[in-house]
Amino acid sequence: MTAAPETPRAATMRARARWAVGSHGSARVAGAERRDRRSLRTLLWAVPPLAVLTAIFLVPLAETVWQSVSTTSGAFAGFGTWSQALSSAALGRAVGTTLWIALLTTCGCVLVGTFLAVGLSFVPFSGSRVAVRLLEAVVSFPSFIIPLAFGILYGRAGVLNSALAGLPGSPHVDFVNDLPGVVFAEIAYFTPFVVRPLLAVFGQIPRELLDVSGSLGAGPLMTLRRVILPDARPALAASAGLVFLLAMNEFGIIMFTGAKNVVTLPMLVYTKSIVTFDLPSAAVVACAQLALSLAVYGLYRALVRRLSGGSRAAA
Amino acid sequence: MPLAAVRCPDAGEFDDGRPPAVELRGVSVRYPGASAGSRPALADLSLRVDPGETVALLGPSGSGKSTALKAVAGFEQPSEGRVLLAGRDVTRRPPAERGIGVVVQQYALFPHLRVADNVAYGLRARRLPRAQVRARVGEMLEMVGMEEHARKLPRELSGGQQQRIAIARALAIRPDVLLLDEPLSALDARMRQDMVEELARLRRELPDVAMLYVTHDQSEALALADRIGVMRDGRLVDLGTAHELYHRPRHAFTASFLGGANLLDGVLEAPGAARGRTTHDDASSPELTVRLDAGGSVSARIGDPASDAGASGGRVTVAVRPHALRMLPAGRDANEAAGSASGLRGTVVSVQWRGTGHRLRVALGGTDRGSAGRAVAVDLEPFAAVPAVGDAVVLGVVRGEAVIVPRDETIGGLRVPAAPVRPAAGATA
Ligand SMILES: Nc1ncnc2c1ncn2[C@@H]1O[C@H](COP(=O)(O)OP(=O)(O)O)[C@@H](O)[C@H]1O
Ligand SMILES: [Mg+2]
Repeated sequence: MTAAPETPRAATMRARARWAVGSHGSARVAGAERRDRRSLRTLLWAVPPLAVLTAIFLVPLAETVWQSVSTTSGAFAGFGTWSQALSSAALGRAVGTTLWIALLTTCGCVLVGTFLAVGLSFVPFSGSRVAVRLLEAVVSFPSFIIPLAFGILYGRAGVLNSALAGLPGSPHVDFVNDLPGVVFAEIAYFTPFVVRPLLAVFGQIPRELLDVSGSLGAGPLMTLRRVILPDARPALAASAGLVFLLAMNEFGIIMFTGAKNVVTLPMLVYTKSIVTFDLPSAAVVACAQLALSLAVYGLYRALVRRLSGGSRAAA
Repeated sequence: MPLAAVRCPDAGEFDDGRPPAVELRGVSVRYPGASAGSRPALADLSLRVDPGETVALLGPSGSGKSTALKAVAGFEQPSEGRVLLAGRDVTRRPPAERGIGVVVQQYALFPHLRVADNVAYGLRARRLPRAQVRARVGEMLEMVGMEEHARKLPRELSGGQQQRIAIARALAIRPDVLLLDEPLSALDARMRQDMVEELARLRRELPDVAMLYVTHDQSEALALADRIGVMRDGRLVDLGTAHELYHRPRHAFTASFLGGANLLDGVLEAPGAARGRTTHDDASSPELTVRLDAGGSVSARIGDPASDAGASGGRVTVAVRPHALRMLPAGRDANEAAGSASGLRGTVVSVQWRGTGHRLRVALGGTDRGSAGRAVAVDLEPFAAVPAVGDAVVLGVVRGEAVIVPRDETIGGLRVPAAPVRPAAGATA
C-alpha cells in the first residue's frame, strides 16, 4: 500500500523538535565529538537501504531514461525521440487529461470525504464504527474492483439500465465508459484517503469547543465553518495532495473502465510500450510522467510545509 | 442518608413576580457508557438561582459539579428531572436556544479566531449588524481590560488573559445566566486572588445576571457566592449562605470541606444541661456535652437544629476547625475546665510553619503515637509558644466553635484533612 502521508501534526512536531535542538547551541558544541563518531555509524547504517533503493528504483529509472535515448542495438541515438515525442499532440493531450482527471478526482474526494468525515465524527449513529471500518477496507481493495462494480451496476448492460429499460421511453444512463465514469470510480476509491486523516483531526477537537459554540447560539453550519474546518485545513491539504498524486498515476481504474477516449499519461505509456512496442517513446512519456509527479510532489510538500508551518508560526 | 438538605428553602417561586433564573428539579445525569448499577454522575439535584444571585457549587473533584453545569447549559441531557430557565422548561432544548453564557473549565477559546472574533462569535451567530458587533466587542474587551489584545490569537495570551476573554465572550451575548466552571483553577495562586477580586467587581457591575459558579476552592466560594451548595458523590449535601454553612454545618462533610474542620467522634451525654450560654448567631441551639472516643469531653452546639442529633444512640461527631483549638498552658489540670473542653490530651506528632502561624498535628489519646492519620490539626495563635514534636499537650476549644453533626462513617478519610487547608477566609466574617 502507499505510504500514508505524514500528518501535518507530525510534521509540525518534527519541525518543533528540530528547532528545539538547533536552539541549544552549547549542547551542540559539547556533543560534536561524539556526533562525529556517531555520524560514521549512521553512514554505515545508510548503506544497505541505499543499495536496495538503487537496485529497485534508480537502476530501472536510469534504464528508462536510457531507453528513451538509445537505439534497439544499445547505441546512443541522440534526443530525436525526445523532441519528437514531446512535440506530439498526443502527449500534450494526455498531460491535459491526466491533470484534469486528477483535479476533478481531488475536488470530489475533498467534498465527499469532508462530508463523510463530518457525519461519521459528529452525527451520532450506531453504525458509525462499522462505516469507518468499511471505508478503511476499501483502501485494501484492488482499485479495479470499483470500476468493475460500477460497470455491473451502471454499465450499458448493468443492473440500473436493465431496470430502466422497462420504463416508458427506455431512458438509460451511460457514463461509466467515459471520463465521468473514471472520475466517479476514482473518487469512490480515493475518498478514504481523505476521510481517514480527517477523522483523526476531528477526533482531537475538544468537545468543549463544540459545546461552547452551540451555547453561543451557533448552528451546526457555523460551528463547522468557523470551528471544525479551520482545524482540518492542514490535514485536508495534505490528503488532497496525496489524492492528486495517486489519481495522476492511476492506471488500473482507467484500464478497467474501458474508456477508450480517456488517454492519460499512464495509458499512453501502456499503449506505446505494450500495444505498439514503441519503447523509446514510451520511455519518454514515462519520463514526462515522472517529472510531472515530482513537480506535483514538490508543490505538495511546499503546501503542507506552509500550512503546518503557518499554523505553527501562529502558535 | 438524609442528604440533599436544603437548609434555608429557596425563596418562594414568584415572591417578587420573577421566576428563578435557573431552576433544577430533581435532575440526574448518567453518562453513556457508565455501568447500569453505578451511581449517576449527578443524582437528583434540585436547586434554584434567583436573578442577580450567585450560587457556588463547591465540592471535591469528581463530585458532579461540572455535570450539574452541563445539565444547565444543555451539554448533557438529564436522565431524569427538569431544567427551567426563567420559568421556561428547556430540558429538551439544545444549548443554542438557552442563551446562557458559559465559561468552561479550560476556557475553550476558538484557536483559529482572534480575540475580537472570539468575543464576537455569539453576536455573529445572532446575526447582529456589523457596527453593533464591533461596538459590543469593544465594550466587552474594555470591561475585562483586554482592548489592546483584540488582534491576538488565543495562544498568544496568558492563562489569566484567556480567562478574561472567555468571560467577555460569554457576557457579550448579554445572558441572564452566567455559568462558570472552575474559572480560576488553571491560574497560579496570586493571579487567582486578583481574579477573585475582579470577578467580585464584575458581579457588582452585572446586578441582574444569575451566576452559577463551580469550584473546589472554598475561598472562591466564600468570596463570591451569595449561597453555597456543597456537592459530594453526585449529590448536593448542603445548601445555604456561607455564614450558615461555616458556622452551622449540618453535615460532617460540609464541616470538613468548608474550613477543614477536625471531625471528632463521640457520644452525647444526657441532653439538657443547656448552660444558658448561647452563641451570637443562633440563640436557639443549646450547648450539649459530648464524650469523645479519643478521651475527654467537649461542649458543643448542634449544627442544624432540625436534625436529630440523638438519633443514632447519641453517637455523633464534633466538628472543630483547627483555629478553634487552643493549646492550654502545660501542667494545668485538665479538670480546671479549659474553655469548653476538658481532658483533651494528646501528643504533638508534627509541627509545620505556614507563614501565618504554626500548624500542629496532635494525636489525641496521648500515647497513640503511630496514628498520625487520626491526629487533629491545631492552628496556633500568631505568638503562641510552639511545642516540640513528642510533647504532651492539653487542648481546649474556643467557646461556641464546636459543632455537633450527624456521624457519617463514609468520610473517615476526611476526619482530619489530609492536605493543608488554607487559613479559613470567612472565620471572622
Ligand atoms: N464525559 C464523561 N463520561 C463519563 N463519565 C464522566 C464524564 N464526565 C464526568 N464523568 C464522571 O462523572 C462524575 C462527575 O464528574 P464531574 O461532574 O466532571 O465532576 P467535578 O466537575 O465535580 O469534578 C465523575 O465520576 C466523572 O468520572
Ligand atoms: Mg469539573
